[in-house]
Amino acid sequence: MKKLALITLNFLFISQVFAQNLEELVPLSSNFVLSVDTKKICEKIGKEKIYQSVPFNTFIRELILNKNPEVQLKNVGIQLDRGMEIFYNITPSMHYLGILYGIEDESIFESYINENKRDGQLEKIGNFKLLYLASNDEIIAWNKDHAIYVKVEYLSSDLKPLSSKSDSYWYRQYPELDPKASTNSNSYDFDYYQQGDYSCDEGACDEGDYSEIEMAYEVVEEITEEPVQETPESIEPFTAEELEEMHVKLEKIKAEYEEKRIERNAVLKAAYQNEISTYFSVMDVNILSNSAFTKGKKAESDVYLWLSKDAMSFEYGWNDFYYPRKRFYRDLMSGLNAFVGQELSANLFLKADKITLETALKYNEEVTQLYEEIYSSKFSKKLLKQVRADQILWISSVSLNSERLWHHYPSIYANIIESQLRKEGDFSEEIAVVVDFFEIMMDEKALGDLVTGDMLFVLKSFNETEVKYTTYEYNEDYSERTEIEGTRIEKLPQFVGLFSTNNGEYIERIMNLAVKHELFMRTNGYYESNTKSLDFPMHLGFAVKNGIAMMSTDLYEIKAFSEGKLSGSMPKDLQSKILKNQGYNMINIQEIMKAFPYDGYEGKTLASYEYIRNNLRTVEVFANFTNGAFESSIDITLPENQKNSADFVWNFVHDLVEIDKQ
Amino acid sequence: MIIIFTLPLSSCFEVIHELNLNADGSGHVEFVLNFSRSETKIQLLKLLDEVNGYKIPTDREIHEQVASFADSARVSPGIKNVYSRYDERSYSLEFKCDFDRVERLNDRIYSLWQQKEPTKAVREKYCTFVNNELTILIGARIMTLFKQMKPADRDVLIGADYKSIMRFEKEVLSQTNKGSKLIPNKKVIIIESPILDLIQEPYLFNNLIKIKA
Repeated sequence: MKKLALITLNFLFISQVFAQNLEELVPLSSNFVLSVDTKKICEKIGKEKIYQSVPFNTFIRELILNKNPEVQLKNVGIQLDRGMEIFYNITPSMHYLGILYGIEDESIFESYINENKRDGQLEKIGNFKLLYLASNDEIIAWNKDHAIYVKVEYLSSDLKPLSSKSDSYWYRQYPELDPKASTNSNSYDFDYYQQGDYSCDEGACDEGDYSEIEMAYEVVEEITEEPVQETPESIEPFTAEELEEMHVKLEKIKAEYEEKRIERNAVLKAAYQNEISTYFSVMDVNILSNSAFTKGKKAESDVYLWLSKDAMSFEYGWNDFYYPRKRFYRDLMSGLNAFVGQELSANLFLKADKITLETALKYNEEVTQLYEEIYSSKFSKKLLKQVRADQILWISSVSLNSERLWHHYPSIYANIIESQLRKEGDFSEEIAVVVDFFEIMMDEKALGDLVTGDMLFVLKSFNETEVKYTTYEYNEDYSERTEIEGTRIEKLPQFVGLFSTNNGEYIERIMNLAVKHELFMRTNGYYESNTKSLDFPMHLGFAVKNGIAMMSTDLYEIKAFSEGKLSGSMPKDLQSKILKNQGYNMINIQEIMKAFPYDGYEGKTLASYEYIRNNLRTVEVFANFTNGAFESSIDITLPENQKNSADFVWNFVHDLVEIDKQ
Repeated sequence: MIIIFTLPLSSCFEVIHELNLNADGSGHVEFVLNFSRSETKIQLLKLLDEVNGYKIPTDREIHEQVASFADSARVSPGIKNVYSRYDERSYSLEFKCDFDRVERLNDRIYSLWQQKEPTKAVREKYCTFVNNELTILIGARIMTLFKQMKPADRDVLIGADYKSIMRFEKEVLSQTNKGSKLIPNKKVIIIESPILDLIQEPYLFNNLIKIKA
């Protein structure tokens, strides 16, 4: 007995020690990885709280086949605190999304799968089990340690669907060809083929069946080429010979289809098994062998996202008739380019007092050098001295070398446009001509002097302002309608915007043009908007002084600025944040939302709005180009007395779901 | 920045519908769509290219659309004295015309619907005048249009008001709409309500009015 207990304990110990690190199973060829540290998250939120969550259980049920509300995550054998790896793998034969998660109890998991496999096909292959789902492009495989869900998005030409229009794999049965000839009709009723299982959702059906139905239908049409009779009484029924001929043709199509289907299924099944088996053997080379992946990951992060633009994503099937519908991932990746970024790493930290998201976008050497030139500037202190900031709802600053930006702008623009047009064809020659034109016409030095690159915007408040409007009234017997003027109180934003300039004289010339067109009026050294002709709701003042251009809704502020009497009052810590970062944003979401009472909203819309307003505080964004990467950090402050930010996010989402149910 | 200022996309606007019906079934109709109360929001929205996936039209485009709408009415049989106006300062649209019989309005609606959705357009009887009885049945259609709107678009109707004035030559003997009122001279029926309140009870758009012979 003791021996048995010892062996059992040993076994348990070994199985714990050798429980596979899920990250080690993510293939090296993956170019998108989302790594969720569920262990840390469980500790922060509480495992029991997660188990009891109705929305989370619903989400998990969707993920693992079942829609039975009785089924709870706690009872399906998944190891919640083991971590989760979501990745997109690209191999020469297929592209697919994979989700790896831990298994706590294989027998419970398997019985759960068995109960819910619907028309899927279960097989045991070596040391793992595999369920091919009837959708033909989804697979779940597992052993006692972990499970993987795979959603195939692209197959190479040797595994291609039977129809060029479709992604027909193997499980969908060919529809029963049982045309019901009617003695009162000159056509077969094929409508039933398109009912029930054969109606398909976008991106989730086998159109191959449809294309075969269309072929069958053509056969019928060939036979019924006779002129269409106009009155039902004159329609002749099919003869027995014609019906027989149709059956023969249909049976032939069916047999050919079956033969092709079986042949292809065998090849495809082998390819799937081959691919899946790699997740149940030791991977000597995996994503951890990619230094770009490992360098970007911070040990303390709760969620890590890494993606890298890989040329392979675009090599296969880009113009295939069928695959565009399924290539959402490739569309996502096509948004990246040399200038937007080629590699992204993002770490989410669910800290005790705030949520922090740190991201780093990397570029190739050429673009890195170019961005280093553009972001080589330091924010000018003189701008900060001109801002009265007793109350700040939103502050946004940016510092860049605009002359270098204008210098590189044509090539950046060309690259972005070229990547957007890639799907349409090769427009590199046309774009090169446009770039040459821009380079000749553009005087980057003059543009750089006009707006040197330091900009600051401050939203201070929303002031109640009386505004006039037109409405109508009627006389006593309602025989006449008269237009009248009404007034109402609106909350209008009060803001100030500043930018640095080396060519104030030129800006004055532009403003004089605005005066000539009566959009602005010149008053005592500053410009004031003409509300009658300028289609803008706020009254604006504008002035240029000592290399700074200022626009403000506060005319006293503009006047003081133009007279050189304005003294800034920005808090030191805020000044420091602006000066130390090339981009800085602080948004007080709660105060901004308070400015909008949401008149007219009621019920759950109003309740959701009020909940969000009461539970959000400030968001700060810091951005810099350093170490060859565009790095940003987003800090979201929590309300007081929160357990931690993971728990806050969890409660926030659940409370909003509850409000939505009301 | 503009998006934050336009966060509550509910708009205050008013729809005015006036109908003057003569004893022979001919008459005059006026529609006013007045966005003046939302002037600030519209001015901000005009700085954007699109909102909720809808392109923001320029004043010129609105003028063209209104003129095109009026031109199509001018060539419609039984419609005359067409007048339309778009005031780009107060953001209000006005359209009025005379008709030889009230059913012409059904033809206009069908014609406009057909231009937009040729395969779905159905000729329906929204207004009929037979034996001194005016029947108005627009509630179901308005409800269908409302259901077709995306939830985000429906917010636009928050704060919007509807006013219907129907004037008759002779006295009204009876009418079935409980949400409307008959003024003391018994020749004018008025409906005044927030649009969303009417949408919650769409039968309040309908009416069966018997007029003294």
